[in-house]
Amino acid sequence: MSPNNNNIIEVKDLDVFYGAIQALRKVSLSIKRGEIVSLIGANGAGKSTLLNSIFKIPTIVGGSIHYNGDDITALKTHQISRLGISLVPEGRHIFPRMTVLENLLLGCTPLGFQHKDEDLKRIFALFAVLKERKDQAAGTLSGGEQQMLAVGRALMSRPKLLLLDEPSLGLAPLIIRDIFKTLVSIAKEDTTIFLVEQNARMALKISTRGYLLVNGKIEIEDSAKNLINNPEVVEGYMGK
Amino acid sequence: MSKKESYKKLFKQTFLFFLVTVFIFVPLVGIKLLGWKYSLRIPNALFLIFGLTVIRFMIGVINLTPRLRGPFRKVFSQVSYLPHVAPTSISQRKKSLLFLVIALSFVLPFVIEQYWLSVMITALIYVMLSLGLNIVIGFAGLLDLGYVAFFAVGAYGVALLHHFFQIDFWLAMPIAAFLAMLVGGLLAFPVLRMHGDYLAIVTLGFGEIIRLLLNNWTEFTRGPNGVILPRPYISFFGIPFDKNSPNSFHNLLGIEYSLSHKSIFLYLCLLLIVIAVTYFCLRLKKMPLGRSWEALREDEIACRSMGINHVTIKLFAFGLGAFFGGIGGGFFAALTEFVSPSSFTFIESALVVSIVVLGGLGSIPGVIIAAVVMTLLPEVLRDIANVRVLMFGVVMVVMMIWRPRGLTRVLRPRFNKTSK
Amino acid sequence: MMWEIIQQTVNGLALGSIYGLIAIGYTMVYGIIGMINFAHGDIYMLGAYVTAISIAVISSIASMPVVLLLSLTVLIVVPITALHGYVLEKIAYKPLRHAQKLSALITAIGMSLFLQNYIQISQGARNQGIPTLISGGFTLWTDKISSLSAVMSYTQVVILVVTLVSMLTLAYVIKSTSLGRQCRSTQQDQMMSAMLGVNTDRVISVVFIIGAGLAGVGSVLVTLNYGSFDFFIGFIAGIKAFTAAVLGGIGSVTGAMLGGLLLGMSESFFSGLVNADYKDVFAFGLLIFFMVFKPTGLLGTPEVTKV
Ligand SMILES: Nc1ncnc2c1ncn2[C@@H]1O[C@H](COP(=O)(O)OP(=O)(O)OP(=O)(O)O)[C@@H](O)[C@H]1O
Ligand SMILES: [Mg+2]
Repeated sequence: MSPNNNNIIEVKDLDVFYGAIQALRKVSLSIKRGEIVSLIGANGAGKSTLLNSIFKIPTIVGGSIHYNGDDITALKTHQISRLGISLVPEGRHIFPRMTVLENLLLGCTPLGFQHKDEDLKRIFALFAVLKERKDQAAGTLSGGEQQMLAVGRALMSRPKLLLLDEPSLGLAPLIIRDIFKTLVSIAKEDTTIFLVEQNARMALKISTRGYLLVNGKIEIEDSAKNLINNPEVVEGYMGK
Repeated sequence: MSKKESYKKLFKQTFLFFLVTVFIFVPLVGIKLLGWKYSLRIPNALFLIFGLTVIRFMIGVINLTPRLRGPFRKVFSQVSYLPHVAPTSISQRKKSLLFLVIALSFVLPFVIEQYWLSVMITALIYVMLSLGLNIVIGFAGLLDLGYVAFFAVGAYGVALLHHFFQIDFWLAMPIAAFLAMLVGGLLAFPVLRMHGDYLAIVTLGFGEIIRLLLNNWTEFTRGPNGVILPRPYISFFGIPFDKNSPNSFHNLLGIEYSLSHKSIFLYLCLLLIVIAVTYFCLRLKKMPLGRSWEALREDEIACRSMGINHVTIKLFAFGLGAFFGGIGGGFFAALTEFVSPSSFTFIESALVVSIVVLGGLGSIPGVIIAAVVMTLLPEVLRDIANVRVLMFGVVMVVMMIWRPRGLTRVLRPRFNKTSK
Repeated sequence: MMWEIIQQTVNGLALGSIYGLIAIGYTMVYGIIGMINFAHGDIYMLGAYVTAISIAVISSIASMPVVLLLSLTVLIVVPITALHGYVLEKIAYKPLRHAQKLSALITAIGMSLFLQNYIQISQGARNQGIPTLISGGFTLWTDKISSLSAVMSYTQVVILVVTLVSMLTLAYVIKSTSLGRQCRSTQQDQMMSAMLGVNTDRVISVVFIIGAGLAGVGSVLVTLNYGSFDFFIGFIAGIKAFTAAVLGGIGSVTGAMLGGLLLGMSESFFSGLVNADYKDVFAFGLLIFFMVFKPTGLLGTPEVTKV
């Protein structure tokens, strides 16, 4: 097993269990630097589980995870973000009783505070509304604003690899478009993106490649173009 | 990590550990307060510091040596659950063993001396208390830290009924036990909606309030001086154990007077009651009430949504537990012939809790054995008597980390699988 | 009558500050790991012993002004109680982080018994004490008719000042430092905090250290005020401080302080105006009342339980 050095992350034969239930079965995938890769699948397929296991939230029973060629399978949750990986988890998980600014500052934890002003400026430029609300308790933000905050917070640590779990969930189409635009521009600034989406068409449009996860197993791996035209994917995951 | 590196790390960790022990033991063990002065006890501190550091180092070495690690881990690994199906009936060997134990415990009072007899009575009282608390903690999963309150109500009930109305033990004891049950029900009401640590704190506060009332309400309870009962207080169902009265026990039987008659009688009565209570608890576990408790303990929310009336079953748990505590208290008063608030401190509650924990939270034989061992051990090993409470503390911590379900296995009756 | 009201207010404030200082430890630990640290009161008890020991040792080495003596004592006591808090967490709480609540609670009680008996063995069972270090006080009010006066002792002044300084420092740390933000975020969402790179194990240790350190400050102040103590004081003080934490709303640091003051004041008025013998009954009654009727306390956020 020699990790490919072009791959920013490489997951190999990952097995994850919740109690007796196996959520991931021998999942393998790899992402090259600078790519945007989408992961699509039905509810309960194990998409969130896969993203979370990169952060060691569920216990990993078998398999390995390499980041930039280094084995990170044994690291603890809090050590992962120090490597330059950020996660926007499903359900946002902002800290409701802290202000917007404090939420953002927590995003600095892995990096330290040397660049905090610069980074804040960058985030406020991306999401102007956060600047207006910076002293408001995050729990009082609207759903879309909370999503922006979650993305902004993840960007504060200048991630090399950004994992997003359904960033469009519950948002108005206009805002979804904004967020996706933002993602594309982030990707241009040397950030690799791994995106989980229910909204498969939209996700694949901005992606280079995609994976289809079914019942905890990778069924299809292909370029985004092919996936958009794959009848199985179209029928099962794109509606219409 | 290479071997050298990991040893380096171990040395570093051991050194830090050493520093921590120095700062912990030098001020509090190495120096002893004497009035406003102090004296040095540095050797004691050094003993602890180096002893613990060496142990820490050895554990590190074992962990780094694959050959030793395996068996070591096996012994010290946590056992979080024990998949175990209870046998449908007790084996013949166990039955005869049980019979032997019961027979022996009936013979016991006639062969041991007075002092050990009272120790055995104390042990039985603790068995009684532990069985009662086992219902609340072990069966229903409600951590009651004020259990001593019911013990106190039982003891004071008996003592005060005699003090004010000269009521005999055999009438006073049931009354006191029912009183304790009533108090238990009373306590159950405010805590119906609680669980976990809130419940623990409220019951603890309740136990303290009872003790403080006993201490301060001098007109009724005689305060810190306590209530003195006549000696001998207990009678053979009305026939006194008096030395001088003409129609007392020994005169009627025409035997030599002995102080131990009273104790033997007390012991045997208590033994019978304990056996009855044990049988009752064993049955209880298999009855619908016992099963509802189990459901309550494992998952209150699910239990409630399944339509089990959690109010009634909590009331039953507290009430029954308190009732047995009250009986224990009554016998305690009869044994010591004197009650005072200082016998009913939190330590007493904690002691019974630790017995139930050691016995295995819900396992009746385990609880009985633990109660007897925990009362006898400090008597047998006089040297450790003054570290008794320390030992209980350690036992509670170690047990919860190492064997959270107790030393003995919990035998849970299960429904027999019917083959289809 | 007026002098009595003023006197009880002063006594209540001083007493309440100390309850508040100890209550912080309960409330922060509860906020972050959802467990009552039963042994917290015993850390405070242990602090009282360290206080007396360091005063005895320091004054046997050199005589110095009281201010210096007390500052040195605080500098010795606080790190030692804090270290005990740290070790306590490592031994009794960390292994049980994911265990049943009942197990963790029993461990905590075991730890509390252990500490009491450990001190009883190493320091002896009898009452201990320190000489009066600060005497005298301000007269705040003198009644014209009875010429009774309300006095605020210098010790009480020290208590109030030290408590205020400690509280302001703590408030600053929690509100405005990165460590404080990490504490709060861990309290609100431990998993997310860890994913953002917060070492939550370390944060939990820090919380135990802060709580135990403040309890150490409390022990110095109490010992200064009352002069005598034994190995059992942690029990009652612990329940009282926990009551304060509940009054203010468990999990809230400001609440703990306010709850402490409230409890101190009501206890001192109760014992001054109603009955001193029943002041503990009153405090425990208050605890049960709040637990039953207003478990969220005065400032706490309602706990969401799924039923
Ligand atoms: N903490 C948990 N405990 C037990 N089972 C879990 C847990 N989290 C997820 N599961 C189970 O694992 C499976 C995969 O869940 P996961 O959240 O990864 O799905 P998903 O693909 O993200 O679904 P969705 O599109 O609905 O978000 C599901 O069957 C779920 O029920
Ligand atoms: Mg999901």
